[in-house]
Amino acid sequence: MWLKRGSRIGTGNQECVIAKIKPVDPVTAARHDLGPRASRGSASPQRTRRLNRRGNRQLNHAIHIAAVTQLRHAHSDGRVYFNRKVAEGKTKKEALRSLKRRSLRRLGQSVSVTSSPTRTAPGVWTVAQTPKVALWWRASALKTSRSRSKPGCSRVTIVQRSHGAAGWTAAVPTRTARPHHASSAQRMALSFGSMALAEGIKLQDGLVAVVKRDCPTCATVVPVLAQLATEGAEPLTVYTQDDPTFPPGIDGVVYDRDLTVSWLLKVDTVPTLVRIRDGAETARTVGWDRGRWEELSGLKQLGPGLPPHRPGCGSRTTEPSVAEELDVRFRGPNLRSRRVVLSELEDEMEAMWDRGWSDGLPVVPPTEARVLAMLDGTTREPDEVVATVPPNLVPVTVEKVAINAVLAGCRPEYLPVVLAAVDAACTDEFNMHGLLATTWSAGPVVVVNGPVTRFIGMNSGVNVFGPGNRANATIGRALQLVIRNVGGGRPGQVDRAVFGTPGKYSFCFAEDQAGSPWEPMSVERGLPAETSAVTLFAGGGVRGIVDQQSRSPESLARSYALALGGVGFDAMLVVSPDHGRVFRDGGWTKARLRYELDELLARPGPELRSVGGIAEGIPEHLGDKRLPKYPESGLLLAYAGGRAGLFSAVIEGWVGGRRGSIPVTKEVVP
Amino acid sequence: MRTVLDPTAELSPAAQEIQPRPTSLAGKVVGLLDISKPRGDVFLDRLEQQLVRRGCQVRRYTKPTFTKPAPIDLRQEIAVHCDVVIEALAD
Repeated sequence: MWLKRGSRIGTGNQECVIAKIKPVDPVTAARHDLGPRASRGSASPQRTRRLNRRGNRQLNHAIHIAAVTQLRHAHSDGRVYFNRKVAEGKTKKEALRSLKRRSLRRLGQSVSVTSSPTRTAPGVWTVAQTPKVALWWRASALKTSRSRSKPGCSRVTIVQRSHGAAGWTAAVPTRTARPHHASSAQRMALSFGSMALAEGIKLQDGLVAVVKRDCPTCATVVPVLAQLATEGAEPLTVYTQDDPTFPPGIDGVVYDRDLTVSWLLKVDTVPTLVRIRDGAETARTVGWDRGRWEELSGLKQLGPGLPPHRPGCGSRTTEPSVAEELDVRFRGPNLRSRRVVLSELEDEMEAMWDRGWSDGLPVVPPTEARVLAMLDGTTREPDEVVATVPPNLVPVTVEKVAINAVLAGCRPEYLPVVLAAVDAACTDEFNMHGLLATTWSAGPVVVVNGPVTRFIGMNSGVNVFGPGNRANATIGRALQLVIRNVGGGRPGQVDRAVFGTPGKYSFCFAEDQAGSPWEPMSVERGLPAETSAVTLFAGGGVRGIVDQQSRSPESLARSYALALGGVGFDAMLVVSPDHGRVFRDGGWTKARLRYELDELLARPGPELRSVGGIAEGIPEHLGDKRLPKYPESGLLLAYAGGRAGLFSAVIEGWVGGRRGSIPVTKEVVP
Repeated sequence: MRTVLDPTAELSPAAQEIQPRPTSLAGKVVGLLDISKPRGDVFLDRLEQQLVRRGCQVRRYTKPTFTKPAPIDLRQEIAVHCDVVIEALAD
């Protein structure tokens, strides 16, 4: 569905309206006259209108903007129509409403409802500027290409840029090709041609050059462009980004004032020379490179007086504020979340707090630009459902997670980790509902393993549970904000903790895999080595274990058992580098430590029941036999912390096993 | 104009009407739901004695674990068989 050219509803607002009607299903649109309507209020029919909430609010907004824009231009036919209505005795408000109805009528006439697959048309607007896979993932892809034969290293799925005729292509190297990646790639491949159609821009076959005056290299190649225009076998179209009179003396210069063509062509450097065949790109070169320009144009002796090559300059589309504006303009309409407009008088930080979106600390306002940038951290589609979030059991999309990740202060490359953490938290085994509602203090503790921890710079060392690292601080917080804002789990409401714990702001850290004497937690829990993963554990406070004397694993294990024996529920034991060395030197594997701890912690029933005049203890029916401390693998072992200090730590858990929470490990996918 | 995106579920909770409070428990079927906390049964045993003495019919139910919401089948069963339910939290 798209607008025919010349539907005259506004100067330059067609694209705005197209953007707004994009989410409208054609069938529904045809049935409901595209949605927006004003209905008459009953009390005083001439003067009042009551908002009909059945209409499409986004479209209504777009029509309003279109009408207001027309009014700004004194000689536009919208303004003339408005003046006529006022002359007929209508108030300005009524006249504006008439203009909007007129715009809507024209829109209705000019919309074609196609029977072709709807995906193609909305796909116009689902284009990603670049499949900006997070940096860590690119690095990981490089790593894979070097060691592709290694088992476990082929699990990455890379979507990479290619300037073939199909636009984007997906290189999906391995067995983990998931269906939504394929479809995403297909949509990207489709999108270029379709986008040109919807914009009414058909790139002419031949050569297309994108230039700007404010670029010395562009100025240098002016004679070459003149050569191409006069001697070339194919037509040349020059798009100029900043000055309609540049380059001088060449026919076929088009002023790309709003940078639409530059954006559609994904130009990041000027000059860019592109060859178009049958409406699709077949080759391009950036900057000035005589060999490449001659290859593309088929001409010889281009720019005889010029140096053989010269680098280009940044395209205007890459200027920070421009890039942001273009991103919002073209991709913003894909975001489905409600827009909340802040008043000029509101302080935006206070506004976030006033709306109840904060955990008590300041949050980053989730503007469209920030959310779009966040979504670039993953290849997953914004409308993909990640999980069903307790306590209100709300399906959460990638987009909603991204919004909360912005609030939390995450960088885009953290998003895949946040998504994995949300996924893990919302499983039945992890039981986030119970963990939230319990009167006990615990909350979700996120342990991150694998290459992602290096790429996003997580802390696994000094002050590992403390402040100072952005990824550690914000990933755990983003998870908590998803549960708060999407799931509806708020302190004092469903969250009934007697004490709570500071870890409920954020409790997230990486395991120190490089320094560890043992296999990482994710590997112990069944994932291949070098796979990025999160493990969620229901944990509360941290208590230190001081043992500065033990030099044998046997002695140190007894210290650990003493500390763990005092923890009521499950636990995570975090071994520090200084203590880890004792186990490495003693040749103890992780399994050995587990076995010894189980032996040391098992106790006969009577020792666990009403001892020392304390009423608390295990129930009578468990009898007198020797009981294990962790019958359902309720002890997690991690390795992290600063390199000096003969301490380890216990993170106290919560009710373990099927009756409470079972730790969950999920792979982090791009 | 500054616009931000709504981070919430954008849902308004469905309002559910609470049934009118019975004026008397005589002849009613009362469900006693033990959420599986320690000593919940002690509390409910005592309640059952009292209710039976007042002419109520009592049915006992138990949640599999106090850490999770009651399974939907259990909630449905209670709704079908009982006029009133008392849920016991204990420790």
